[in-house]
Amino acid sequence: MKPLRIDFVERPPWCLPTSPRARATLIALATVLLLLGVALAWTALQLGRELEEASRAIAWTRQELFARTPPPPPPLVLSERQLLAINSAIGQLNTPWPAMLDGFESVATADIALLQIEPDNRRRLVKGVAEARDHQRMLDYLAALGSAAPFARAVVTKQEINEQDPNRPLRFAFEALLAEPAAPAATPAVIPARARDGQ
Amino acid sequence: MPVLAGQVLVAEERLPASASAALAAALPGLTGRQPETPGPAARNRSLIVTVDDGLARSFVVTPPRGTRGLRELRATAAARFATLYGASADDWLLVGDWHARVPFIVSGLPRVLYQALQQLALTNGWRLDSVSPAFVRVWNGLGASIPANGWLLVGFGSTLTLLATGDDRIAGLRSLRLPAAPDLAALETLLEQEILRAPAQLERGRQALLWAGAAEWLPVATSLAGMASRTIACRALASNAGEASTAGQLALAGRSR
Repeated sequence: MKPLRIDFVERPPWCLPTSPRARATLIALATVLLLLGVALAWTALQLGRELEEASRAIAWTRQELFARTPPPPPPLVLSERQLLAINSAIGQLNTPWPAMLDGFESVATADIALLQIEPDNRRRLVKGVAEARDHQRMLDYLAALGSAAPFARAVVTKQEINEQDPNRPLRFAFEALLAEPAAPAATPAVIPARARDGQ
Repeated sequence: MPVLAGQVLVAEERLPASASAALAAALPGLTGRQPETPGPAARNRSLIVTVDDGLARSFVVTPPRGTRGLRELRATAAARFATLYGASADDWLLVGDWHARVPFIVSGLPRVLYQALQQLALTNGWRLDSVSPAFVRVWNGLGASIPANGWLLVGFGSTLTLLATGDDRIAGLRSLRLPAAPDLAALETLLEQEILRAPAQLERGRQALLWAGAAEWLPVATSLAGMASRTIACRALASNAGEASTAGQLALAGRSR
């Protein structure tokens, strides 16, 4: 039969009588829990220490990284002259030589001797020097050149009679304006608004 | 270990309440009778009190169906006390082996007596460790020897407590104060009467008797009232219940002169 738990002295729960086996079990359990608690506390302490070390290492590495990283290069600021030079170089590179030469080729006649051509990319024209037998032939040539493919028009800038030549040809300098290009590839790559306004 | 078993402390038989009052009044005088004078060594010792079953009022309570909580069980026990004894349980300290589904035993002790015991412990510097009725001490001391179906008869001083068990549970409890030491025939008559009062479902054929306690009149018989009987004398009841560290163990036997 189960023991009767009848006692007029009311004891607090932790003072209730327990069997020796239960008490031993409780003590063992408490010991295990205590050990577990100590182990947990130790682990927590270790973890905290490791965390602190890791954060310190991270901070050190960050400082080191900052010290070793070269300063960022200053933004590229070009002077007006540099810009103009670059733009002219790009313009020269973009000069439509084949079309230009085809244009000259198409209007070439035996009456006109083309002595020199020199592109001026800034003004989008080609300067040239040629010799003609007479005025009429010069005008015909310039009219033909002005209507040839890459050119919009051609005007004479200077003319003189070459006295040293026994045939006394008419030497003239002209400017042939290039037509506006349809393709954007022909435009200069670097044209800041400031540089364009300056023109 | 001072054991005051058998001290004549109570002479009243029919009025346990006044007996308790008389006992409570007599308790302070107990101090001087201690074999050991309370000194520094006697401090912090525990006091274990075994109360005569005639001083306490013990009864079986069947918990109502659907009981929830100790509060309801206490209320049920108090109501049962009032029904059985026709008086309010307010002046009694009720303690039970509380159970929500199966019948359990509730014991009541006059608060006056309990307070006197507390005062006694306080004045002597003892710690009141345990106060239990005698049959509880005997029951807990016997353990597995108690018949699962049958009767445990606890004789202590001039009180006989009959505990009926059935199917490993308590079925009934009754304490009788005997006018004089009974002989075997008187005990058999008492038992027969009690069996007639017991619930009908207790099968008599398979029942066994166990006599236990510290009374001198416990029968030594192998068969009684048609049931197998054996007797376990608990003369060392005090030492069963209390450990060697107890300062004083009072067995308030209440044996009449």
